Amino acid sequence: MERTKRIGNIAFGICMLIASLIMIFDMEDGYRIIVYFLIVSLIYRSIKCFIYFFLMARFKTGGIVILYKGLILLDAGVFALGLDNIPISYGMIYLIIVALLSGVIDVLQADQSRRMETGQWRFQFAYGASKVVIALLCFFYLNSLRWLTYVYCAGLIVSGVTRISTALRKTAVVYIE
Amino acid sequence: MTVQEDFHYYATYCAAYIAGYSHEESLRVAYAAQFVDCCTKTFINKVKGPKVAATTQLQTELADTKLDLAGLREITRIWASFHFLPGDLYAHIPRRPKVYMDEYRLICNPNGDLLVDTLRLAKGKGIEACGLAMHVLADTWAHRYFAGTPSFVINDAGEFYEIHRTLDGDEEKKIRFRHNPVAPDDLEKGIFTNSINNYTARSIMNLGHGRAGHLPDYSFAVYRYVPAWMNYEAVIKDNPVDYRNAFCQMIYAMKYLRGEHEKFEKERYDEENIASYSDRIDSILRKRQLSASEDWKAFGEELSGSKIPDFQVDMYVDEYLNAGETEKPSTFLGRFFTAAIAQKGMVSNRIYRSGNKRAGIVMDINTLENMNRRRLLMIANKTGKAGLDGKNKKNR
Repeated sequence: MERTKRIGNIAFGICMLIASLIMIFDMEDGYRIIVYFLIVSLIYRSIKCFIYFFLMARFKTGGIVILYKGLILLDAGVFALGLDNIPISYGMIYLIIVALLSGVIDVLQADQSRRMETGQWRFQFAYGASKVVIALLCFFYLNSLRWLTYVYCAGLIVSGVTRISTALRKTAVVYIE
Repeated sequence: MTVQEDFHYYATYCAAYIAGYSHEESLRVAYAAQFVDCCTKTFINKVKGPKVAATTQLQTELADTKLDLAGLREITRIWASFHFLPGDLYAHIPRRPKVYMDEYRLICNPNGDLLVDTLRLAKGKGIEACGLAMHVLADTWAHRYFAGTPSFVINDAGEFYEIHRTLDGDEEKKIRFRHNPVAPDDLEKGIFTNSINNYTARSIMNLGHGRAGHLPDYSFAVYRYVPAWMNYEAVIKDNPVDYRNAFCQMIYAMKYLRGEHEKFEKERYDEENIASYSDRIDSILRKRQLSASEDWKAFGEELSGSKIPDFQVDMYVDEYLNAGETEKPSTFLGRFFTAAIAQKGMVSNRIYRSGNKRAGIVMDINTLENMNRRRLLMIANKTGKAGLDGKNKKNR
């Protein structure tokens, strides 16, 4: 993993932990921090994709996938901009869906790694599955905002800790000499 | 036994013998050629040699390398200098940004200007430099179309189809890849190991021919795929033809190094000297097997009438360790290290001078006086840095 990426992941993980703790004690402020954080993160990643696409990936066979990735991230980021103006319970649904999708992607990627015999799929599978379970639990507690917050924050804490531990882990390399 | 040992060790021995070297000299040439795949920082640490002379990286070393600018340059210096010699540092495609062209221009191809420079550099530098140059030359054929730098837009590849040549025509079979590094390739079922698909611009997974697995290293393999840089056009990589060219070019190049030719010319292959062995060589190259070592070994032993020992990576370690500080440079490993530093410096400087900073700036050891040369090796030994950028600027 690149050093900058490692630092980014650690910083991101710490922010998640702080945001979740704030949310437990002050739901409104915590919710806002998470939403703003999500918006900045999505738009920043989409801009990075666009720059990389126009400078490099558009000349690559199949490089258009980078443009699609950027568009999807930008769309999600722009949509998240509206979350500040709607009731928290509806905004939470969006956040839960984001968590659910992210968990499903992790599970699918882990499954692909398992089928490709990388031997490194278990951790990602467990992480993705935990996100899916927490997202489903959140849907179950939709009527109780307090419990919904606790469950969602538990998910955020798990994600934050996982991000930090992933950043600190030594990455295995498969390289053909 | 590594997959490439068949060509870099045994086939190089055969080429050296045909080029006119004695049995003992051919063994040293072959050893040096194969040693390029073994001379890691870890190995150099063990013998307390200059770490800047590393010609390859272990998986663990790659995992430890930080992929920041300095790490990226170190990887590029090693892999572009010894395993993926760029074919054309001044390649031009209209309306492409420089940042893209910097990666594109590192694509490895045979018969480039850098190959001529590599041979010129090795001339008169002894057997070890000759073996090292033979490794570089052979890899320009085996590793063509891939770049010795982590690059998603150059080294990524789509699906691969193996072409089986039969009397009824060509048959294509889709190649299945897996990422289990300990599982051997399954030639029967067409299952090979490659690196993981990764969309990150500078992922190690996109270094060299990782995405093609060991396919470029099998002399029998003929396959079709669409390289990332090829604008949706497919290429057919015909390894038996490429490896034969590599073998004949090695003979020609070694004759040049021995002084039989005044200058090294591109696209010259010594077909004459292998005319009587042509079918034998073709049959070895086209035989479908994981390693052709036994076949090349038998051929080499028939050629020279002498036994070819198996490659032992530690063969010259004691000689180096037991030598005094002043004698070390004249040992086999000492001479190999000097040749490796010179090659890395030359290639990296050529890349830098072409306006491409992907390999950073490296002092060219050949431009230094003997005093500075020793000092350079001392600094490299102490710091273990392949990148001599800052430390030696004052020496210029």
